[in-house]
Amino acid sequence: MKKKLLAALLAASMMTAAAVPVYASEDELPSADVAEQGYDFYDQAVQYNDIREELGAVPKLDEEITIGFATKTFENEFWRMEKEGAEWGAEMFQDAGYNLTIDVRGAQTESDEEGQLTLMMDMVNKGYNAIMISGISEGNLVPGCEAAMEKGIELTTVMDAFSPYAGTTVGAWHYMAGKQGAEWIYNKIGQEGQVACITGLSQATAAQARTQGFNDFFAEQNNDKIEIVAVQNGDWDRQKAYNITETLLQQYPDLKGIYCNNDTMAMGSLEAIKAAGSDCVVVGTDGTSEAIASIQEGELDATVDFSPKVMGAIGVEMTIRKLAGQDVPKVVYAPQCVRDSENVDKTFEEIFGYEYAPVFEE
Amino acid sequence: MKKFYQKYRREFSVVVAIIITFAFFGIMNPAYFSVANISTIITQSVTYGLMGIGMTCVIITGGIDLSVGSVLALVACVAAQLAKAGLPIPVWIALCLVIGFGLGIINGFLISKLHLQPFVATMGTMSIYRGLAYVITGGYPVLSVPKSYRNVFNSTLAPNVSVSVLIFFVFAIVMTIVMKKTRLGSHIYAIGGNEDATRLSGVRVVFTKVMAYGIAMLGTTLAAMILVGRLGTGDPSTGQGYELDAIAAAAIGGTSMAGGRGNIFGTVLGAILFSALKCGLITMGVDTFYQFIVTGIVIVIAAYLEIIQNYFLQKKSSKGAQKA
Repeated sequence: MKKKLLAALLAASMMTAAAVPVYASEDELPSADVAEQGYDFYDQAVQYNDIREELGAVPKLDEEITIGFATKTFENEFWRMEKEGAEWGAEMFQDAGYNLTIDVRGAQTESDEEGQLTLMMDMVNKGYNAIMISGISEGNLVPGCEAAMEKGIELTTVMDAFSPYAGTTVGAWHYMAGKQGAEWIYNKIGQEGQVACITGLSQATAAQARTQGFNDFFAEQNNDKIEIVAVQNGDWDRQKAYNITETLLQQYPDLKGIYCNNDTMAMGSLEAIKAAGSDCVVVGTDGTSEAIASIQEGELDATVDFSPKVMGAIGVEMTIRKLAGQDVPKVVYAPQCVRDSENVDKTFEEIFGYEYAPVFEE
Repeated sequence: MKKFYQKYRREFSVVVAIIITFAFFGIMNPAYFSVANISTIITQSVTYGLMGIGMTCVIITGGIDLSVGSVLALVACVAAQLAKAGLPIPVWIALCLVIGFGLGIINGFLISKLHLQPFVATMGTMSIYRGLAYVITGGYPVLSVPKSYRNVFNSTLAPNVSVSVLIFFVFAIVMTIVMKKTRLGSHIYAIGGNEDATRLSGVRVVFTKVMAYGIAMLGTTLAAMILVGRLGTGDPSTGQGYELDAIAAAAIGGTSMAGGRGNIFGTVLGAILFSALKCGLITMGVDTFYQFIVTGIVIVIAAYLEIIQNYFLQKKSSKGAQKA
């Protein structure tokens, strides 16, 4: 028993040691001002859809370049789609004559912070020209980022976790996603009734921003007929979301709408709603293939789709623009939209009015 | 009466904790006492309860099983895939139970035959089983399990009485009989009390431990099948951290982490207390951050009630009290 205790203590002390971020002269970092204002609230942030045409053609790049992408676990469909997108984007550049190699590697699990740092360090040591990162936590890649900065390696964050070390972040606008989800529910339920939100792990900034967007949207409506009856943590977990929904429907049989911070929870929530025979609507977030299929079958009501594939490709494009010496905004929100039964079968082009394809300099 | 109390005093303290919890939430919110709400609480305790019963069995041998969360996911994925393959329902159920039992046997084999520390061995299999779940599904949830299969574990017998609750209680009763009335059960307790002495008295320790881990996994297997019934999906990422909830249910119910002591009924009550607390905090709309704190406090208090009981018992009679 004593041995067990010792082992547990040792493990705990190792974990705390690994989790403490060591920021070096914080305000000099490339994206320090973004960190200060918050990624979701940065005043100079731009949406890719708005700047697409202003950006102009991607400059020519004659030298041979290698881009690394240290991403999260491929256990998760979202990161597989990011990987696919980055490779798809790189292919477009290769086809256009760029001498480009891309190396996408994912951490082993959702919590493999050390492993992710190791693979990033490997990319730094191999002297890649640029590295795209999707850190598991805000702190775990800091040593890698510091080493990369010393070597003059260009850094781009894709999706999350936001890092002040990276000059550019290409990702979802979580706060807006919460608002989009809330707005969809608001209009669907005829602007009155009880609504609820099931959140992800409480300490995740993405979950907090999405939830804040949800709350702010209803606060802005200033409508007495709408009541937020619950904001509860479902830990990103299907079964927990099921249980919370079951309990909420017990307490509030007239519940009209639930917004979930991700699609996995939305699918759990949906099953509980079906079991209770309620007509409550449910909106998820992410746009996973499971959610899209469910919308096509007429089950799930909607999801806020982050189009991870296009996001990954935009990450590559922005990175190459930086390598070619162009100025790129510090925060670029990738295209995102609500997918429901009306537009679920539409392609990216039909929804946004353009097909993603970078324009190259002649 | 006194004898009865002495025998079940640990359960008694959990019952007191449950009553306090119910009274508190009931006063805050009268709807909490409704039959429908109580039914929800018990239904939601099924997953933790079934996993906790298995965990109790393992902890009594002096071990621990960290792999149950992964097994929940793996068996759920396998069950969903087999259901979609269209196996006859009785074969489907039997096959899933055999697979779950087998996964437990592997744990037991590593621990008793290869003499690995239970903590380390099951930490290893936790990763292996999770990996297998991802491999067989390619990382995508197995969707749209046919209704006929889902209904086996997800229908209601009468209003507010679901099949899953019946399975939970039946499994608890069967396990109580196994632990209290069979030779295997008494050997499991004996090993937890003193493994060497048990071995020297001629008990087949390896066999008993392997069986304990195997039987224990049946609880998780049933929980996985109920999960598939409820959600209609086998999700390879589900069940992360559930092992701690299962351990908590067992610990609240009076199972000693040192082994040799504890019983199934206590764990059932522990799981219900856990679930009553979760539902109560949700209906009250308590902020998530505080829910973690409150849950922790209740676990500590529920465990402390026993210490207080022992204190009074020892005061009453110096020789009657057992070592806590």
